Amino acid sequence: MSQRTEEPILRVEGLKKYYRANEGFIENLLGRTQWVKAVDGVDFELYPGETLGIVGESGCGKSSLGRAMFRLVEPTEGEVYYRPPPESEYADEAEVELTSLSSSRMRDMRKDLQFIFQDPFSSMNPKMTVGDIIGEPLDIHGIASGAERQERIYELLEIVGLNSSHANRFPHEFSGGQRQRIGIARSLAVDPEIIICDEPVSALDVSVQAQILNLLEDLQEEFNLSYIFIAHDLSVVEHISDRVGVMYLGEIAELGTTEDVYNPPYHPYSEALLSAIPEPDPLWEGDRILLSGTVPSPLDPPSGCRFHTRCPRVIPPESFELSTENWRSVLNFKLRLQGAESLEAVTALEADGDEVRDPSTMNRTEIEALVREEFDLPNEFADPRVEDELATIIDSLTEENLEEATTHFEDVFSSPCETDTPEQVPTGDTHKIACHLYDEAYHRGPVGVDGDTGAPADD
Amino acid sequence: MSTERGRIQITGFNPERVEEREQLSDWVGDTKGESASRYQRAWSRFKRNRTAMLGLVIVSTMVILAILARPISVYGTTVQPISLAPYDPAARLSLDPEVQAGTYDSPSWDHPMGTDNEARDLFSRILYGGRYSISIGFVVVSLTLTVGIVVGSIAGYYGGWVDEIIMRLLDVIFAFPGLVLALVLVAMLGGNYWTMVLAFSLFGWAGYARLLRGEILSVKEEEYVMAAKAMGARDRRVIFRHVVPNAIPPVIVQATLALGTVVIGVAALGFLGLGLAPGTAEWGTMLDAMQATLIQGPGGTIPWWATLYPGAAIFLFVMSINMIGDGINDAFDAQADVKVGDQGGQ
Repeated sequence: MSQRTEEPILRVEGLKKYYRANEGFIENLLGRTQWVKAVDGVDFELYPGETLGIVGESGCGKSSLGRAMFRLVEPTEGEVYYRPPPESEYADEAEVELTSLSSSRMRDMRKDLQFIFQDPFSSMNPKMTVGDIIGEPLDIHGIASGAERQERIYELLEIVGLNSSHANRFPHEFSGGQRQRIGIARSLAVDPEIIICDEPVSALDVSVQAQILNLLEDLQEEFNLSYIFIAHDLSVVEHISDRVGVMYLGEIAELGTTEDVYNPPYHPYSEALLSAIPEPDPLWEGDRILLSGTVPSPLDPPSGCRFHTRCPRVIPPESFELSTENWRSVLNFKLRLQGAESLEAVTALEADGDEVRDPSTMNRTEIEALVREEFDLPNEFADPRVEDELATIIDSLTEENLEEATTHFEDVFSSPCETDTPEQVPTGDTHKIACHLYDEAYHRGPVGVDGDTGAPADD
Repeated sequence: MSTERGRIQITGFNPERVEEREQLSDWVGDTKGESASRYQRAWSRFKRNRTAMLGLVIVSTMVILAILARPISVYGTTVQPISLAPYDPAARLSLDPEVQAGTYDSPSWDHPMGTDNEARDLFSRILYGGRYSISIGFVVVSLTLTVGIVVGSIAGYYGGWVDEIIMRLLDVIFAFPGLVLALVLVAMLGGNYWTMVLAFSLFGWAGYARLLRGEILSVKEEEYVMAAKAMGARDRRVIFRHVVPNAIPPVIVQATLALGTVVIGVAALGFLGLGLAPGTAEWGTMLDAMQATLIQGPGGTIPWWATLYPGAAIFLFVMSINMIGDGINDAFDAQADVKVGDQGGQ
């Protein structure tokens, strides 16, 4: 797919959504408010008639992104521009900035911008019949009433593959798949232009997922809808999306057409995610990339590239000859040391249960052996300078001077991934990756479009 | 062996054949026509509940009997001419030469429930007495419910400082037992019909307010409330179509049960001699007038009918009200009667 020439229907710029982590009078008074950075500066565009998939593991902010975009929660910062297509009722307006609209204007605008919720069980008022649930948007926007409204409700039920006789039933009388169809009918009632689907199939079993996905695709074709499809299931996203954005800790790590994202070159995070797709072939020998550690807290996201604490392809410091794998181990050691309060916390976390010893009673050789074992460091690094620096650090550790060890580590071993925030680097006409690996400025090399790792470009 | 994905392909699966195959059963949806309101549905569930229906029948009978007990006239015009009660509830029958009656006559055909200490016909008094207890109950409940819903909705939906102030006020009210507050008010203002209403209404709304506020706090976080906002609904619509209807059922149940509580409260004040004027045909006041007979009656016999029938009237009314309250509770809980087999398969 080549660069789009048409105008995007929706443009998101620098969207941020921070949640207050502590609510308390005293904390507020002392200015000790902590913010959960659920969405932290997201930019993307949505083109008419396309499906943009947003993937990421749970807690990466994808649902918050969807909700902040259409102001179901008020975004903290950023702009969302909506360009009404010719068939919209607001077609005479060139471009509408959603975040600055008054709330009554925004309510009107919701006729074009609809939402499908993840949980078909809790997103419907249990006290209303299906007919009233689907008819509600018609009432709100004064689109139809009386017999016309009834007619439209029946029509919508048929469109989503239900029966008009279902209109008098209550949501709890339906299965999950049927309820999700009702949810879709409700969002279609106002004839929208854009629908945000917030994990619409995650709560359904696999056979029903396929039906709902096909329904969404058919509807898109029929009504020329644009979807933003939020999901954590990569196969689902691959199936339905034209373009995909991969989110990690509130930021978009990679954005491109589905083909671009699902094929090399990869963002290291996308690569790890893709490797986790289950494969039915028993003879398949692909490697799963296991990420070390857990997702860092969005309260205090890591500096530089947010993925550097877990990235298997993190860039080694230029001043040393270190393989990526060894640098990953050294970096793990460094990160553990930063958060540690005692020597025990540095070494004993993964030690065998029955052999836990108080590290303060050990001599230097023992500590060094423990550290090397714990962090999978090789017995001897190829670069003697690495060995020297490591020795200094372990000396400090033996003296139980954690602070000095941490500072020394900071001074000597530092990767651009830790310090510099990656920009979105174009790696093709339709593909952008936010990773230093693909940035010329870091000379480590692009990892080539063919997916080779390691081959450094001209230095 | 390969690292290439997607070598396993499923072929030969023909979705059209599945769609066109013969139906497993001839089941089709059967509900058709206008959407039935949820209150209609609740009513049909309520009707199937025999205990609740029994309660409803008893309460309605008592209400109708109370209305029809004596003629009602408004400004001289008789609006209700029927008089079911055989005698004037206030008349001393021993003074009436046409009637053979003395004090504490035991139940007979002429006086099905006997007569009391002043030779008044107990049956007539009990029929008529329902007017006081039941009407005070209904008036108090409608007043307190209205205030409680308004205050509770404001506190629950808007939260913040408003909520904080209202809740602290409620804490103060809850610090006093309700009956004691009513007792103090009646003792201060004197016992008549409207001071009784005031005594039970003045602080009676606090319970509904707190109950509704709590329900609203949980309901307003539901996803369908966000869904309604996503559709573009205004605050007013969100509150009255989505939040309050889902928060109100416990309040309605509470109100029904409170009807019984108020009737007992009125009777209790009457029994303590603080309620309506002595001699009034109100159930509690009647019990008070005859409490001496519980210890020793004239001539060493105890006229059991003098206390049994007023007590039974209170008991029957309050029990029936509770049965209705439970029935309403079940009827509103729409999911309670869904069996596993009822779920549509997909």
